[in-house]
Amino acid sequence: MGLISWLLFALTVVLDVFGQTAFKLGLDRIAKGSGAAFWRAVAFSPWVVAGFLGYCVEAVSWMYVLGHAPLSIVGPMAALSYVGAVLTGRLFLGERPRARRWLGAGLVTLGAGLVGASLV
Amino acid sequence: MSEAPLTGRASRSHDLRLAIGGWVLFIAVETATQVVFKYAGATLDDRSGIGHLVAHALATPVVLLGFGLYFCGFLIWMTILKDLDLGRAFPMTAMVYVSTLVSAVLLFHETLSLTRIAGVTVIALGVVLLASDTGGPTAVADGEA
Repeated sequence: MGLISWLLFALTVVLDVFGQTAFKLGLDRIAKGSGAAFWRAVAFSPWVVAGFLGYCVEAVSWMYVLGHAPLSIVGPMAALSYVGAVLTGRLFLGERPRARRWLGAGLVTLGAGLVGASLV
Repeated sequence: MSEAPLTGRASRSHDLRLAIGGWVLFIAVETATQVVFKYAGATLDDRSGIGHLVAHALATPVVLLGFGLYFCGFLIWMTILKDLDLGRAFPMTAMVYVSTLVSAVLLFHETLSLTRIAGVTVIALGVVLLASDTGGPTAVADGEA
């Protein structure tokens, strides 16, 4: 697994966190509902559209990474985006994670480090 | 679909069934996406640059299938996320990591070292902790509408 794969892996995680945060920002601004009205609002939400475009780039990047790295390495390590989601939830979404959520984020980071280390 | 008003216990169990069904469907679609992407990534020739890679990707059926699954996952995710706190909804996807690991071993014959299994176990533990933090003012505010 070369440098480009690692860089694109990092890009994938960043875009995933961006996408999730943008989706939530968009959905928070849409009236709760269902059916055609809801999906129309989703399609026209700038945040959802931005997140979706990020998803498209992420998909290509992720495909490259998967083509060059074992699925059992990068699959679990993609859980790093949970850590990013806790951070952006705190910073941009007004969420107030308690100690338990931070501890969980720390464990995910530690586990991802272990999985990465198992490659060498 | 009946539009009869569901109240109290009936409404709650109806919501719960929908939530569990959505979750199972999401896990299945996400796992299939990873497997198809792995097959797709392995078939693509990237030696002639990213532009060529994208062009080649768009002409390969297994890649298009991967994108289709990806899009389905996105639609399902939207319906789940609209009712949940992101910090709580996201960890619910943890099962994808277990199913992906099993797929890697069964379909791609990857071998798991002790370090890797330990790492995945620690990740899973972390995700369980993340998911079990149901408190906080935000969660209370939008949890019981």
